Amino acid sequence: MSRREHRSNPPFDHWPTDLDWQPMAGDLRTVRLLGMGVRMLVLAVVLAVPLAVWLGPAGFLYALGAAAALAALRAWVIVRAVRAWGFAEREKDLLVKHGLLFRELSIVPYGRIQLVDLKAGPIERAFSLTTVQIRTAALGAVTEIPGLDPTVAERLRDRLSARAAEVREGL
Amino acid sequence: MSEPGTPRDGDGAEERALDQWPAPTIASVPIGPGMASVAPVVIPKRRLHPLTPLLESFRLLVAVIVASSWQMYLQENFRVGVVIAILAGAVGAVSGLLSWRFTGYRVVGGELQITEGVLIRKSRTLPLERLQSIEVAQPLRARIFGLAQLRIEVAGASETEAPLSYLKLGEAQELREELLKLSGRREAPASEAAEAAEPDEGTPIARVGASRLIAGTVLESLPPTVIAVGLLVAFGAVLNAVLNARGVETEVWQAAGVPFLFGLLTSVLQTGAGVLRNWGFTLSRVDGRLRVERGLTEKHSNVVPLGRVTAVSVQTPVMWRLKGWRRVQVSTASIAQQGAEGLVHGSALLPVGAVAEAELVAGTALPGIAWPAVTATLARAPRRARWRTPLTWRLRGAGLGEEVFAVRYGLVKTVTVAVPYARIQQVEVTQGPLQRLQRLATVRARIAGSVSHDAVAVHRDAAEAVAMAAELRERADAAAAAEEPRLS
Repeated sequence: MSRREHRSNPPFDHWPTDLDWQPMAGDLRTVRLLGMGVRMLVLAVVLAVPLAVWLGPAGFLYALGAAAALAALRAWVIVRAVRAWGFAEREKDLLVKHGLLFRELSIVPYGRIQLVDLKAGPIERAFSLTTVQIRTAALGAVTEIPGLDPTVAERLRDRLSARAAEVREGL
Repeated sequence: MSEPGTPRDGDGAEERALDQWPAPTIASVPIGPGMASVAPVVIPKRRLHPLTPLLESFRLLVAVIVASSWQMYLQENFRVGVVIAILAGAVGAVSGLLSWRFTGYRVVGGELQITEGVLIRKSRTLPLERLQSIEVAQPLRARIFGLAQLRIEVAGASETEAPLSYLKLGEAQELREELLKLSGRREAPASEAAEAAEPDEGTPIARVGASRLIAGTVLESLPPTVIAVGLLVAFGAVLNAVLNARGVETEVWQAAGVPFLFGLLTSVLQTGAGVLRNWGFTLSRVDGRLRVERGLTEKHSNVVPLGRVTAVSVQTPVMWRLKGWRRVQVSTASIAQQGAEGLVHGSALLPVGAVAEAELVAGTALPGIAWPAVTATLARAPRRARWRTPLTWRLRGAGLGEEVFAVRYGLVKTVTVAVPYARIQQVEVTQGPLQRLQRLATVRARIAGSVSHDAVAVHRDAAEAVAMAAELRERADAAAAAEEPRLS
């Protein structure tokens, strides 16, 4: 593990075994950026109306400028955040890590999986990406793996449900 | 004729199917409508007690009587009141009788089936293997007639599923025994013989005396009440001073006095209700099950199978420290316990007791575990995390016990939660930006159905947190493998 990676990923480099982290598809970045762009456009419009009423035509520019600045910041975060996503399948459990500012590592044992869902939003579908959602009996804990190629996602789902059926563990 | 699906039928198709679907194993149980006819009818269809409509519409009845007498009083017309009462009574009686006529339950195979509804028929099926606890409750109005409600908690149900009300007390108890027997069949086939030898009585574990119950309830509600009253008084004083300084003659004291008294009254009433609820609290162990009996006006008798306990927590409200008292609660996979209702009454195994008693009860709820050994494993977070939780850092702790993961937190109410490794669903490690600067991380062990009883170890050293998560996962697997297979 390189020194840079070591520094950029403190909680995970202590993980006892070497893991084969699978990255998300490259298009996930585009999907996330597009989604963010749409939201920023909405924000710009919402801002523009009162500002235009208040300041005249200059209001439009301010609104656009604010939204653009915010979008640039978000874009920087998104690019890095997508790189932070990853999942790894181990012998008995699935590991999912994500988050840049607030990092999170979820460990889901195959035996406790109750439900595996595939999900794809409109932008995701346009880039033919799929999200895998995994639920256990624990409330309010949905583990997501976004931005997978549909065939990869289906394979993953099938593997997960097959393993969940093999090692059924109780509540 | 060859059966469809054999390799002879078409090797290519079979291979492709295997490639796409790596052999998911499907249970070899017949699925669909055929199953119901195969399963044996354990208890044939029965109705609820005929007095049910009367008791169900008890509140309505009272309201009608009050309304009609009010009308009589207002209009000074006796006939109007009588007509209203008769009309409402007739409508209530017909609808009540109809709904009673169409409500029934039966036990088929491992399932309890309840049908109800006149216009919209509803049929619910409760798989008994997912049963978490059964309570026989007797509200005052039902006690008069010797009737009882049966409240059944099932894993994953968002509310108390199917309160079967009302049954004769004896019938309710018999049905509970029957359902528990059916639910436990997979889990402990050996224990059934032992149960037959030693019937209903069980061994008492803990009793709560009246004086301790009252003292404990009052002591617990004291700090919040005092704080609320103090805040209100301070607010009123400040407001008064400000207005007086501006030369306004005010009656703020009276204005503040009303909500003050109201708040005090509710607090007192709640305390009183808490005492009534847990009056005569008795916990006993009846062969692999815990039975709680409590209540003065409304009698409750709740049974929790030991194998269904997902977490045990021992709580100390701040004032109880003076007396060295503890409360013990358990949680099961039933979500219904998440509601305020359940957390207050459903899951307490000991509303208030001495340390030794609490340790005994906690040890009973988690067989083979000594509570002092559990608390001994608790270790503080590193000193650099102190400023994050300055008041509770000293008492916060987390530890990997022999069979449980234990966590302690809380100042106003100090809570120690112990989760058996076998009950851990999934493990999470999180790290916020500040934690990252300090090389701290938080570990969360999630259990089924619950949020409030998740064991969360806050602000641990990052390396320790990850090692803890790995250890939790390993131990959870080992514990689950050692267990008998069970479906829920």
